[in-house]
Amino acid sequence: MTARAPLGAFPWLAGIAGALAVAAMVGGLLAVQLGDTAQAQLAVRDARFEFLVQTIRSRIEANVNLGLMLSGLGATQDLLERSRVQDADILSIDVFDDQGNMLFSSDRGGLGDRVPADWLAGCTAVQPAAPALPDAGERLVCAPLLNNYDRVAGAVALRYRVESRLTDAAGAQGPLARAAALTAAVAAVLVLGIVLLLLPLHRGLVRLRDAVAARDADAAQAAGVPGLDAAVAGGMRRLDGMQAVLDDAEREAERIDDLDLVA
Amino acid sequence: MMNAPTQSMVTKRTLSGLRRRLAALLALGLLAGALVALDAGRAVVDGTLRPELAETAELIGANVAQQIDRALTLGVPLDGLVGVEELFAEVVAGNPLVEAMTLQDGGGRVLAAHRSDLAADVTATVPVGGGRASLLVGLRAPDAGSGSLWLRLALVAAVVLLAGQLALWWAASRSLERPLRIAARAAGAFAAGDVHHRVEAQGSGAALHLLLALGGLGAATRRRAESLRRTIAEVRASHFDPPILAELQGLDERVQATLAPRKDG
Repeated sequence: MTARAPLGAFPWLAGIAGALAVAAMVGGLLAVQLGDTAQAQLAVRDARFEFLVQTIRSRIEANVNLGLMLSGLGATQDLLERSRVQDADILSIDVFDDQGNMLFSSDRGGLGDRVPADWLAGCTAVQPAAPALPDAGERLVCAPLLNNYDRVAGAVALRYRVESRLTDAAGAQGPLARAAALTAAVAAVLVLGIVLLLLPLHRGLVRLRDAVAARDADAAQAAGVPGLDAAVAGGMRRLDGMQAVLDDAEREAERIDDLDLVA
Repeated sequence: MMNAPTQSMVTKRTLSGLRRRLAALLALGLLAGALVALDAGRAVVDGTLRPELAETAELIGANVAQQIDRALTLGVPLDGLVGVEELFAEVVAGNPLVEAMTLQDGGGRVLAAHRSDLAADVTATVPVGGGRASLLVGLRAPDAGSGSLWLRLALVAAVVLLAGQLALWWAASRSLERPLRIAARAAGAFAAGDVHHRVEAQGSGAALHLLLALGGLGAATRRRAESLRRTIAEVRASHFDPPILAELQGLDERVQATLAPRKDG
């Protein structure tokens, strides 16, 4: 009768190795994909607000080119406030003159203040370079305002939120949770596949073990473990031969021991 | 005694095909993992990049629509608008994401268009002139990093596949190959008559059980022989007749010779 034997460590070790490999693969690929997506998302957001700043700039410049003073463009305040409500990620839109005095702002509380020096320097340059903001979750995009003579009259600056949609439950968390579940399923199938692949060998080893325990060399020969079954059967036959010799020797020793009594 | 290459051959034959099948299974698992990752990646793009593109398209469309509305509020009829295509061209030139722009009336007639084929990833429709017309803005998703994406994917896949195969090789060597090699060595030693060969119990599961059974088989034969030799010695101690002693001596030598490993094994 075949006694049960545990499957052993290999299927589980191999399964864990396979599952880790699959998880590493999925994690690696998703990390690459998420990195690219985050980069692309920020690029789209940058482009959106860059467009809005250029639109505001062209409208203000159209009035400045008529000869109006920047500080006298009353409609600008309304333009900034209407633009501000177009996107919830816009934190503020400011227009300041070439001295850094805030003339118009979607946040009226800041009117009359002076903008930071790096805003003035970066935004009034012909090739504007918006400075980095102290808060990593915010960005600034700006453009200089030029008059008829291509002289810088001031600048428009838009501050916006750069919050990534990757933390959004509907955007990325759902697909990532689904990917985790699918990865777990693939890993489980992999472990199952490894176990199924190893079952014939396992069963063969159990039959071989039972044959050895039963001292049945013929059964060992037919255990179905290619190579090893024949080798083990060969060893067992040799041991059987030795047992036969020992049986003979034992009988012989008894016979010799009895000779004295017979004599 | 069985020599080392023969044991390796036995083990190799036993595990023949198994390694290849396991490696193929692992590769299939990794392929499935790659598909899961790509599917999830696409879903992430749909869930994050597309809404961002849609918001951008709507904002651009709303601002362009305002400019057209200003002309319409001055009484210019929809059919009489001029410079709209130039406006579109200016917007497209200033924003690399904008793929196409189209102005059409309520009946779907195109009044002005820039790249009207709309080969865009995301399209937003904004009403113009109080709903008398509509402005379609098509945006193309930026190809951030896509140039090196496949190279990176291939690198990740190669590294993981290599690591997985190494781990599999290590696990197979530790848990299967070593115990099977010990079993083959023990079988070879027994076939050569070496009952003194010690079978080291290693591994786990059925392989370990087989080693224990083989060890028990050798030990039983060894114990039986030792017991018989003790019996012969006892019989010799109780006899003084020289022919009987000589016969016992011969018997003992026969038992010893049986147990000694053959040199030709």
